[in-house]
Parts: sequence; C-alpha cells; structure tokens
Amino acid sequence: MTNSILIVDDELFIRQSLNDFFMDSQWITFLASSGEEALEILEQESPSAAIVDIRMVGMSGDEFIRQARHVKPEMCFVICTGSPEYKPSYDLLQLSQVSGQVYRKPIDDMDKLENHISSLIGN
Amino acid sequence: MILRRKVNIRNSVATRLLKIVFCFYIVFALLVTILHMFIEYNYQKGDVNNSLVEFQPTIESTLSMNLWHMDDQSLKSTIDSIVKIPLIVGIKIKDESKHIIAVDGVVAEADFSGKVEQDINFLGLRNGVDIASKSNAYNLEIFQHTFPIYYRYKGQQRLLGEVTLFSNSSVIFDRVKVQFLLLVINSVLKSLALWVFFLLISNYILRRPLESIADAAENINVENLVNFKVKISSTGNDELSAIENSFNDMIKKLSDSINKEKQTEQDLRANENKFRTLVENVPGVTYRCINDKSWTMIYLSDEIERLTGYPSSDFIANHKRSFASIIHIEDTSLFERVVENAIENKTYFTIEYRIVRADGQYCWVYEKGQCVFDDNEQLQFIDGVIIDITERKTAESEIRKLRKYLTNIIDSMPSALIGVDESLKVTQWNKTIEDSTGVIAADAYGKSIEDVIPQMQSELGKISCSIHTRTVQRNQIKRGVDEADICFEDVTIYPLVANGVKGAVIRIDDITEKVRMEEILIQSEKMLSVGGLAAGMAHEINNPLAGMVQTVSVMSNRLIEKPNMPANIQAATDAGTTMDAINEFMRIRDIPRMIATINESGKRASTIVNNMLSFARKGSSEKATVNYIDLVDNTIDLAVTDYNLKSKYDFKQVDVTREYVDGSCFIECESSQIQQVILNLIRNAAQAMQDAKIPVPKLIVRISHDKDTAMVKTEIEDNGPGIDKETLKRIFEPFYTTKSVGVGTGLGLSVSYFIITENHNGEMYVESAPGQGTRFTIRLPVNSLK
Repeated sequence: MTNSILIVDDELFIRQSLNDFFMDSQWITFLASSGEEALEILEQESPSAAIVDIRMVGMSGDEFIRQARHVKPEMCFVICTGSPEYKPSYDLLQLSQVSGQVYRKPIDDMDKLENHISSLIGN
Repeated sequence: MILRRKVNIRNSVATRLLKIVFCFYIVFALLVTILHMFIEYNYQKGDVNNSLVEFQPTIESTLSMNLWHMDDQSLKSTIDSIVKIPLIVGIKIKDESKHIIAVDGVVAEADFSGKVEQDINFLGLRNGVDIASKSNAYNLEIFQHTFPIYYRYKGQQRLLGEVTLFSNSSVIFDRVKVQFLLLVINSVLKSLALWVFFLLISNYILRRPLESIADAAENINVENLVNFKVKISSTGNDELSAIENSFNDMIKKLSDSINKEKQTEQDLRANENKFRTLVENVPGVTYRCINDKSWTMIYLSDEIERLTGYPSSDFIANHKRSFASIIHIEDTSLFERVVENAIENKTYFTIEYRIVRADGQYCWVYEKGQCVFDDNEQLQFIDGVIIDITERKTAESEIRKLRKYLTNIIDSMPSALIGVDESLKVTQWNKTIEDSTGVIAADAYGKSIEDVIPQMQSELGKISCSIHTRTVQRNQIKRGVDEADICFEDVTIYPLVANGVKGAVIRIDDITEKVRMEEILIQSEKMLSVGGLAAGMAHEINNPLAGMVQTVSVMSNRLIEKPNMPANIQAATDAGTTMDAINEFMRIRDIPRMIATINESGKRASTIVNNMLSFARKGSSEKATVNYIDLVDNTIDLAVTDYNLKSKYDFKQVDVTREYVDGSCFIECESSQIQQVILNLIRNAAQAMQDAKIPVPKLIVRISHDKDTAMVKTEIEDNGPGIDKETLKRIFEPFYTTKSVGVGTGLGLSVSYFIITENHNGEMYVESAPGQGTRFTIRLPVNSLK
C-alpha cells in the first residue's frame, strides 16, 4: 500500500521541495498552504501522516494538529519549523500521534525524515 | 522612771553621827562613872574605917568586962552581936601576949585572910593554923581596925589584949549599890532621851533638807533645768543653804552650758543637714570604710541600693554582706592594688571597676577615695564616692565599637582612602593604601601627601582646589607605558565640609579590572545584540534557506544520487534522450559540483544562523546536575576519536594529559553546551598545534576545585604557537577569526565565552604569549563536592 502524506506549509518553495522529495519516494502527497486548507483536505482524504509548519498565516500548526487529531485519530504528525526557539507545547507532546522530534528548517537530511515518518506510521 | 532612793534611817547620816557621838559619850560616861565609883568607894572605905573606929567605944567596955572575967559565954554572945552589925564582917581578939583567943567571920592574920568559924579559947588559939584550918580563902578587900582593950578600974587601967574589927568591900558595895543603880538608870534614860531628841532634830534640820536635795536631784532633768530651783527648808547661812546655793548655781551653770550645747548642737545639726543634703545630692554613693579585706563599711549612703539593689544596712559592719563580695572577681586584685598604692603614698585614688548587682548584672562604677589618717599617721578610714558610670562605659564601648566598625569599614574598602587636612598632611590612611604603597598608617600620619606618595604630585592642585571650592574633583589616571602593565586609577577628591573641619578625602580606585571588565561587557552586549538580531532573523532566513537547501537536496537526488528512478527515465524518454546522456552532459558541465556548492553554502548559512542563535538562547535551555569530570573526560574521548577530514587534523598524534581533582565534582549545567565549549577549545588547540607543525603536540586538561569560591577550574593548556597580544584582546569577539575564510566562522570562541559567562555564570579567560603555548581557563560554579 502506498503511503500518503499531507504537507502543511505556507512557504511555497518548501512545500514544493517536500512534495518533490516524497513524490520521488513514491508517496502520495497532499499540499496545504494553511491549517484551514489542510483541514478541508482532511475532510476528503485520509493521509497517513502530516508534516506541519508552525508559524503560518492564520491557523498555527499547533492548532491544526489539535483539531486534526480528532478528525483523523490514526494520523501521525511531524513538526517542521523555521523558528529555532520553538518547542512543542506540553499537551501536544503527550499525544502518541505527535512525534517528539521536531525538525528544523532547513532539513539537512530528508531521507532521515522519510525514514522517521515511515517508522511512525508502522511500515 | 526614776526610783526614789529612800534612805533607811539606820543608814542616815544623822544616825551615823549619833552613833559616833554616842559611842564617845558612853565611853566617856563609863569612865566618869568608874571614876565616880572609885572615888565613892574610897570615900566609903574611909567612912567604913571611921565607922569601925567610932564603933570601938561601943564595944570596948563590954569586951573589957568579958575578957576581965574571962567569961566565954558572954564573950560569945558579945561577938555574935558584934558580927551581926552590918558594918562588921569579922572579929579577932588577941590577949595581952598576942595570942588569938577568939575569931569569928572574915579575919586576916599574918599571911592569911579568910572567913572562919567562930572560935573562942581563952587559952589561946594556935595562931594561924587553927584559923587557917577553919577558914576559906577570901578575895575581897578587907579593912580592919585594931585597938587595945583595957580594964579600967578606979582610974587604973590594965591591958587585957587587943581587938581587931574587920570589914570588907562588900559592905561598901551594899552601901553604894542603890546609888550606882540610880546612876546607871539616870544615864540610860538621859542617853535615850538624847538619842530620840537628836533623831528628831536631825530629821528636821539634816535629813529632810538632804532628802529634798536628793529629790531635787532626782527630779531635775534637761527640760526643767532652766527654771529649776532647789528649795531646802533651812534657815540661816549654814552649810545646807550653802549647798542649796551651790546646787542652784550648778543648775544654772548646767543650764547655761546645756543651752550652749544646744546651740552648738543646733549649729551642728544645721551643718550636718547641710552635709547630708550635699551627700544626698551627690550623684553617687558616699562611704566611709575600714581598710580591711572586706572593706567593712562604717557609713554608706542610701544611693548604694539604687546602684546595687542591696540596702546600705546590708553592708554596714558587714551585716549581711561585705562590700568586697560585690566587687567583680576580675577587678578585685586591681582594686586592692590601687587602694594599697594610695595608702602607701598617702594620697587619694581613683578607679573604675565593676560591681555585681543583686540581679546578677554588673555595672561599671567610678570610685574616688581618700585615706584618712590620725595624728600618728595611722590609717583610720577610707572615705570616698562611688559613681555609676555604666552608661558612660556603655557609650565608650559603643564609641570604641563604632570607631572600630568605621575603621573596619574604611579598611575593608577596596578603594584606597587618604584623608588630608588643609595643609595636605595625611590624617587618614586605610588598609588598602597601606597595601598598595607599603607605607603603614602610623608612618603616614602627619606627613605631606606628596612625600608619602610622590605620584600624587599631579593631583595636589586638584586637592587644594577641592578644599577651597568645596567641590568634588574627579580624575582618571592612566599609568604604565607597556600595554601589558597599563593600569587605570580613578582619583576622586571629596572636600570635607562638615563641622568646620577643612580637608579632603582622596579616594583612589584601581579601575584597571573595571576598565577591562567594561570592555568585556561591551563585548557581551555586542554578542547579545547579535543574538537578539539572530533570533528575529532566524525564522525569516531559515525559510528561504529551507526552500533552497531542500530543493537542492531533491535536485541532487534526482540528478546525481538516484538518477535511475522511474520518473527520471520516463522524463528522459519523453524528452527524447537518455539518463546516461544527461548524466554525461552534467558531468561535463560540472553540475554536480555546483549542486554540492549550493548545498554546502546553504548548510553553512544555516549553521551560522544557528550559532548566532546561541547568543539568544540564554537560560532557555534546561540544566541538569552532572559530574563535571565525567563530562570533560567523555568530551576528550569524543575529540580523540574525531577525525576531521576537511581540516585534516589527527588528534591521535596529540599527547593528552588529564589532571583531575580527586573524586567527583557536580555542577548544574547544560551538558551539550559545556561539551561544545570543551570540544571547541580542544579542537582549536589541536588545530593550532598541527598548523604550527609542533613536533610533540601536548595538551593538558587540568581540573581543580577552588573550595573558597566554590568554583571548579578547568585549564586547557597546549604547547602550541601561542597567541599574539592583538589577537588575545579580541579573541572572544564574535566573527573575529584568524582562520581562512570558510574554515572558521569566527563564532566558536565567542559562543563558548557566551555559554560559560552568560549561561552558566562562570568565567573564561585566556593566557598566552607567542611561542609559549596557550592556556584557556574556565571557572564554573560548583553545586556541591561529593
């Protein structure tokens, strides 16, 4: 079964680079430029995992995860942010769906990220 | 109550007088009576003799007849009748030849006298023998009268014999008996009458007046003395009235002298009152004592109770306690010494000592005493006053404490403080200036400041100016020529304006350290501002960097690392070419190198941003308590195994010496940051030694524990090329690097400095000189040493 991933980032180039990478790795990708858009996608689709930016215009990444995890309880979330000082809030870290490892932009090694997500979703 | 002394009449003067007079009277009367009786006796004796003679004619004829007739019967009756006559007590008749022919009654013959039985014998009695045998010895005086017996007949007479008539004193006694009795009765009666009369009279004229004198003497006292008058019922100018007068005179004199005494006493009392008031107003205890072991008190004013809590009566004559017993035990010997000295020199003494009060507290007293000597220079008393000086002592001790405290403060000042007067002479010289100049305060006082510190010459004008204008003068002086020993001094001159004291206080602070610290502070601030900027920028830079780096990464994937992925082959086919052709094209056009460059540059930019962020991350990290020695040791291990391909330094060549303090050393830190710092220093050292091609590169990592400051000190020492002064000054500056561009960012040491000083409240400094190696020192606060 092909894995699917939702990429939530307001930065087009980042979205694209991740999309390119995961497409190359045979992932089905869904792209959203905001939390709100991502929630809309989740109404239709059920990706296995999501890469979520935190600082976005509109809904923040944290907030998106809080809402999305109710919609898709099986989904995994990996946070990827450009803010060096960011730390996930305590409630998010308590959730088994949310990965404790936060990725900083730029992501040096995207293979590592892929492997991590794969292990999270159980493949 | 005065008992009236009633004089018994037997002991009365009158009685005694009477007794003496009577004794004399009786003796005299007795003598006179005896004389009287003697004379009477003799007179009577003569009378008896006469009677005997007169009696002769009465019996002459009868006896003559009887003898003539030798009629013994008649003679016998005649003798009987003669003897019966009271006057005659005996008879003796002799014949003409002197033979005793008849005796009767009391007779005397030759050497014999006595009472005999009647015996008549005309033939004659044996003379003496018969009489004696018939008589009793006789003591009374015997009188006799002998006469011859004649027979007369017709004018003729014839001697018949002789008759002796005897009488004795008892006859006289019988005669004078009554007369004597009357005489004695008469005398006794007269004496008695005289006695009684004398007593009555003496009672009236002697005893009564004397008694009234006694009464007066008893009743007389000080109160009634003035108007007292003795009245003796006597008349005339006799002795009694003389007594009366003398007595009254005496009373008057007494009264006068008493009055005088009273006056003196009043004066004395007034004086005493004056002195008492004085004594009572003395703000202390006045006393008089004896110089003995216990200072036995003769007088002690009541003030002692306020001072000690014991009433003065306790001390008088050591009634309850001695004064010595309340002197503080530590002061006893001093006290004795001082007093002894004063006695020896015959002077006064003053002493301050402690007294233990009734409540157990002690109080300080001041005592001034004076020895009082008598005319023989013998010590009699010690008089003096004791004054409570506890408050003064407390104040003194407060002042001392305060002075000490102020001196301490002044001495504890890190600044050098010099006080000067108007003529710039030193009046104050604290410890710091002592230490820095080596001149002790005692040597500095009173000397001109320029003599003590020649360097101050340049400041003299300012000091005078400060004193006269009363303004604070400040000046910073830079000393030293060589960069290394340049030091800065801050000289501040404060004029003394209070209390009319003219002068100034000069404060000299060595601010070299401060100036250096300021430089470091400026550096830190620089770094912090870089950090703040970085934090704001990081997100904005990271996003485009991510777009670039990640896209290049995908590009690299597609073109170089995974060229045979299905999408590639499909796309090549669609473009009418092959992946091999494309690969060949890219190789020729150096595309992989370009991609790598983009990738590398992006990553470097990202590293710089991250490093800069370290400056902004103060306190945000989580610290844990770790064993510092283990941490450093592990980091060295990590460094040894680290082999940096690019810089090509081989750590295995470096001889690493580890000198650690015994045991563990726990500090609170973020271990990754500390590790970063240590690693950074070790790598720098290894790199520097390698670059300088040191034949035997040595690295010493030394950890010691400074217990006084509770800091753990880490020294990382190499035998590398060393660092020149210019570099040394700027070594912790951000972006300052000696490495070629691309090899170092110039942030490593500044980040390390920031981590140690800002994030861990530690210290970091470097010592080095060209050619002499480099030593970095890190000091970190210790949690506890276990």
